[in-house]
Amino acid sequence: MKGCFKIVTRCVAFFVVFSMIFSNTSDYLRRPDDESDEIHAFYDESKDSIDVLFMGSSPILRGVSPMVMWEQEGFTSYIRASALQAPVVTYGLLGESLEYQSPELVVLSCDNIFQAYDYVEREGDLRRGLDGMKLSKYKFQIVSEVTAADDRQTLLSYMFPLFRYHERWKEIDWAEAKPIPLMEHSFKKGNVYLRGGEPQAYPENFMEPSGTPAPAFDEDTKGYMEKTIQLCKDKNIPVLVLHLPKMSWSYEQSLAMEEFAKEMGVDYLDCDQEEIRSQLNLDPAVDYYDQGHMNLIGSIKLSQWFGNYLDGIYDLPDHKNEEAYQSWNEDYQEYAQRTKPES
Amino acid sequence: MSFTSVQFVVFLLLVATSYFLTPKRYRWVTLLIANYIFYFFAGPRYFIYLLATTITIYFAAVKLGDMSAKNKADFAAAKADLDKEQKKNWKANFTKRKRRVLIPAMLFNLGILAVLKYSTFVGSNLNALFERLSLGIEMPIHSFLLPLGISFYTFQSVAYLIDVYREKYEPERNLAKLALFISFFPQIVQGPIGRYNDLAEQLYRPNSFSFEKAKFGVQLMLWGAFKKLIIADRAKVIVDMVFGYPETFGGTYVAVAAFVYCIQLYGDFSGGIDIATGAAQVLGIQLEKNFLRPYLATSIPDFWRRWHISLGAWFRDYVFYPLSLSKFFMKVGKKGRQVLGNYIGKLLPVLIPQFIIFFLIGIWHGAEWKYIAFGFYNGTLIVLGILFDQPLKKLIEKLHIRTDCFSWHLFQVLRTFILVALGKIITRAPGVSASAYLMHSMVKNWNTEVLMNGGLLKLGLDTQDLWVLLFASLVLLTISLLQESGVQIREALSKQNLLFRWIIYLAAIFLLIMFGVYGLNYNASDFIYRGF
Repeated sequence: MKGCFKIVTRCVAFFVVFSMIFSNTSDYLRRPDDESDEIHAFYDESKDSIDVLFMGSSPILRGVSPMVMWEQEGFTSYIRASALQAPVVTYGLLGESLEYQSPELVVLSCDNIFQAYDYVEREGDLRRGLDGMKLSKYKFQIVSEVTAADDRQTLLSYMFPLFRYHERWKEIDWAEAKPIPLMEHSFKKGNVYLRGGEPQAYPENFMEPSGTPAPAFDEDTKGYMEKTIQLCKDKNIPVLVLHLPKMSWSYEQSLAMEEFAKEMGVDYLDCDQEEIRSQLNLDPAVDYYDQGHMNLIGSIKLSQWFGNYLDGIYDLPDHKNEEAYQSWNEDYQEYAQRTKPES
Repeated sequence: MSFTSVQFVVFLLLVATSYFLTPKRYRWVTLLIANYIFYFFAGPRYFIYLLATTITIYFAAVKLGDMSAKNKADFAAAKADLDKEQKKNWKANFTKRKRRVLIPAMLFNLGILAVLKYSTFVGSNLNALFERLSLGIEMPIHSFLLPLGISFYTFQSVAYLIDVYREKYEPERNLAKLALFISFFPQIVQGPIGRYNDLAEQLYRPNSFSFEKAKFGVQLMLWGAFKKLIIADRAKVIVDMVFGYPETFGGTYVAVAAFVYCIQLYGDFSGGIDIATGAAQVLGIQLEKNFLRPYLATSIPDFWRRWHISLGAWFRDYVFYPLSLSKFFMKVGKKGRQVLGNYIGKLLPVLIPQFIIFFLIGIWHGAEWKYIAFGFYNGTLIVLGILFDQPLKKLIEKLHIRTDCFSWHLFQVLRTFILVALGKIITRAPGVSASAYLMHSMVKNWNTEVLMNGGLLKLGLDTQDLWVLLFASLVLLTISLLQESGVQIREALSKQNLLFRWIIYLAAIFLLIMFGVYGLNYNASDFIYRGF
């Protein structure tokens, strides 16, 4: 019995040491990426402290600033979006997020519902949302789906990304190498803003009926969107399906989305509809980074309007003077400092 | 399920846990179920071949066993009334009757192997011959996918049957137990070819968990994975490049590729065997050794005693001796002495079977002319070695060359390695004419500058990978030299302090994770010998 205890103790100790080195090695070989950092700094937020969760892809990631909305309206929000986020990742990330937070509202971007998702081509985009995720049934679900569609990948390479990046030892200058762990705390609350950009102009006949039928939804993407909405419904959390300004959007797509939201029994907001556009008063020559994304100036302008809109519709709480939320004020100071116009 | 996959590690873990948790009486049943699950993963439709072999071998062996028992009893009863001649006839008759059971069972099993493995080769060559002779005949050709490990389990089963025929041991009368012996999952993929008297008892007994054995087993598996993933699969890139484009890479590149292919093949095959042996050891079962540092051999026969030992031993016991000691070859020897003189005539019953053995070893490796050429190449070297053994010894004596020193030993090792490497060119080149072209090009366009002027970087590996390959190969060489001088690495390691041992274990694991050739950016390759 004593011998058995000794063996078990040694095995456990060995496993602990192995895990520590494994984790450290993973941090050395990880590709630094600000989107992954932001999306996973979510774990640092206090339990049940987030009022609004934003899920989806790059227009939300670039265009919505939780800090601007905090400063103006006093509600808390976090963005768990990444560029070209796979619908299955959005579903899994939301499922996981709801284990940590009980938000008053979930905002879902809808721009990708017309596209099929190619897991082989989009591995890098997939991994942004996936690699830093803690081990959970949701991560396992996503990985199972992805590896079923892409047989070049293994479950292990997604659950433990070191098995995917192991050959990066060649790219690293070991003399100056240091571990790059995931960011622990984000003052931007998931937002990754872009400065500058090219002056844009709305296309001719933008958001006017073209007489052509609306493009069809991709069935898989739509299926995951429905599952994601159902996840919120099961927890009695209201959902807002959101489309943020994008110059490749069309009147027919907007109508199709509106219809979809109605069918699902959720709200829909289209920032490219003329009425909203006039309220937003965006200047394409100044506020856009490119045709599909806001730049920092645009995101601040949009977030001011959007914060006000959300607060008005959903009557969100104001925590600005609450002791437990003082760190948000500190984070805002940091955000304000960093987002000062460059001289 | 590849030996270097996580699925295999998980599978082994589950099998080991279930095995040691099963009541002792039924442990062998757990092992049999595990074997069949493992084989099922490889392709359920190939199961039928494994079952056919198991069932035919079982019934043939039981029949032989019954015949032997009855014959013993009958002979004991009749013995007193028989004279010497009658006893001899009795024995001959009995042997004849046994052969009526043995030969059909052997033909059936070796026939399955032959049809699956060689029908395309034989058919296409016959068709080519018919066309040449304008016979207007065309045979239909079917190509089959080889069931996993068919060469290995067929040889293992046939060896068992022959041993029962020779009354070396009693037949196994429990079909399920025989099925376990034929299908043991670590060795069914690429050997070693087990012998019933060594393996069966270990499989049937209820092995108890031993931490020491499990630890040694895991260490061996790690070492095997090191050889396969860090050395063999990295070397493969160079080998594939040179042999894939023989017109582009001539001269010294061929020599480099042949050298690297020797490393690849050894790393790949012995790495797989180490993983198999380690996995069996975790379950408390010791498999036979299949390699004994073959590249340190001092002659070609010595090389074949160290390389794929279980296959060599199989051919020795079940083909060479029966042939060499047969009446026919005795007569050949007698006739040979009359015609060719005492020295050569005496050697004929050894030389011809040796040649036949290497022809068979050649085609065992694959149904292609290049493997037959490989067999003849080795057969010729062995025969020449035997023929010139005495004259060379006399010459060495006359020239006063010292043979009891390191330099002579080194010369022998290098000479053997070069001969082996030349043989590897035959098997790795796309065909016999391509190998002749490559050897010709190697001699004609020899240019050692490519070794110094960055020419090696054209072979598919970058500088860092070349360094890893070089360093890992040196580690392999060092370990081999230590083992050759009698050091038992795992035993020596187990005597060290805990901290040192853990550093070694962790370093080995992380070297594998970091420098192993696996994943998307590398083309993961299957074990070479798995295909046989």
